Amino acid sequence: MESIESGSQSKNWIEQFYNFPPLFTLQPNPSSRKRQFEVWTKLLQTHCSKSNQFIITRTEALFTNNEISRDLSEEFITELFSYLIDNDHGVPSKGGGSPKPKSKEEKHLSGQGVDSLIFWFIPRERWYERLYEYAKTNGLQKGGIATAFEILEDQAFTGMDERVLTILLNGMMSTRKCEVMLANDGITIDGVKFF
Amino acid sequence: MRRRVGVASVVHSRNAEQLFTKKSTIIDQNSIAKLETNLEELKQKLKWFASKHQVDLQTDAAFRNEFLNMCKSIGVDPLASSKGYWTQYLGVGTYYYTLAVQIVETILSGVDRHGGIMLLKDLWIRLERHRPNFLQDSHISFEDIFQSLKLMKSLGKGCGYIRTSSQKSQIDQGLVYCVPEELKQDQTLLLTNVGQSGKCCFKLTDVADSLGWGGLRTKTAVDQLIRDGIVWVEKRGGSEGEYVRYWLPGLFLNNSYEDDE
Repeated sequence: MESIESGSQSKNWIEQFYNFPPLFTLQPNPSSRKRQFEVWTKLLQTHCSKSNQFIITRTEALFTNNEISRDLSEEFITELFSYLIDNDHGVPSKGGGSPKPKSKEEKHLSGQGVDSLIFWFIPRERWYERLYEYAKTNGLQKGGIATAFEILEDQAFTGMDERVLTILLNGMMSTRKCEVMLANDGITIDGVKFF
Repeated sequence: MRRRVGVASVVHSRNAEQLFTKKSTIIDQNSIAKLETNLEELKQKLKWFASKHQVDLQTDAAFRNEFLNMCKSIGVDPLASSKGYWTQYLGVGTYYYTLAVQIVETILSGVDRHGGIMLLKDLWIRLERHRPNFLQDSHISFEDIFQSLKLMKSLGKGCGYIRTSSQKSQIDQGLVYCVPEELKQDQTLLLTNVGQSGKCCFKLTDVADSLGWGGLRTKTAVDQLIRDGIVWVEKRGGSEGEYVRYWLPGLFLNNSYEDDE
C-alpha cells in the first residue's frame, strides 16, 4: 500500500483524487469532508453520464477502487447518499422512508436505509430544459400532449425509465411548463401536456 | 614661538578658534556639496542604467538575480520600500509585488485540494503558464519566487517556503505555503520532515521517531494540520488492528494541473 506514491501525472485532478486513499475515509475536518463529497459527486457525474446511468446502488462499481484496493464503508455510503439527497443531486429510489430517529439527539441522515438512489448526473433543471426542448422540437409547447412512452423513445432521454421520468415531470409542474395526466391507478403517467 | 601671556593670549586663541570653525564649515559644505554631486551622479547613472536595462530587469531572470546580488553587496535593498526610488525607476519592486500577488492567487485557487501548500515545482509550472503577455519571453526563476515570498513576510507569517532538501537540484521539491494563520513551529518541522522523506503519507510513529517527539506532541501537530485541511486521514479496520495513515494532498496530487471548470 505504501507503493502509492503520488497521483498520475497524466490524469486530471478529479481522476487523481480517485486514487488518493483518504478519499475513502470520512474526513474529520468538516471542510475536507465537504470537499471529498464534492469530489465523489463529480466522479459519479462523470461515470454516470458516460453510460446514462440513473440509478446508484450501495454496490456501485465506482465505490471500489481496485487499483489502490480501497472501498467505501456502509457508513460512508450512507453519509454520501445523505449529501447527494440534501444537495438535490438525487432522490431515494428504493428503501428510504428512513425510520425516525429514536431520540432527538440522534443525528437524522436522509441517506439512512436508502438502498438505491436516482442520481441526477446533470442537474434537475437541465432535465426540465431538455424535456421542454423535446416539446418544442415536436411542436407540443402550446398545449400539445405526449405519452411517457413517446418521450422515453427520444434519444435525449436514453437510459431513463418511467419512474425517473415521473419524478422529473412532477418536479417540472412547479415551473408551470407542463401538466401530468395520471392513469386510474394515480401513479402511472398517461400523458403530459406542455405549455 | 614666544609664549604669549595675559589678555593677548586669550584674544589670540579665540581668533584662532573662530578661524578653525570657519574653515571647517567651509570644508563641511564642500564635502556635502561634493557628496550631493556624487549622489546626483549616482542617481543619473542609475536612471540611465534603469532606462537602458529596465526591460532586462523585467524579463531576464538571471540578470535580475545578478542585479539583486550586486545591490546586496553594496548594502542596498531595492525591495525595502514600495514607493522608493528603486521601485519607481527600476521597476524591480513592482515585478516582485506582481509576482507575490500571483503566487497567492495561484495557491488560493487550489486551496480546496491541497489546503494551501504545494510543491515549489507545481507552483512554478502554473506561474509560468499564466505569465502575463508583456513578460512573454521572460522566465520566472525560483529565486524570483523566494524574493516575492520574502516581500510578503511583512504581511505576516502566512506565506513561506519550507526547504526539504539541502541539495540545490532538489530545491523545487520544497514546499510553498499560504495559509490563513501562520504555520506554527511544530507544524513546519513536521512538514519539513515529511517533505524530506520524499513520501506523501506518514504514520505518527514515523514522525515521532525521526523528530524525537513524544506521542502527544506529534498528535497535536498532526491534528492542527488536519484542521487546516493540509493533512487528510485514512482509517481502516483490519485483522491486524486499526490502520491509520496521514496523507498530504499537496504532495500526492499533481497540483500543477489546472481546473477543468
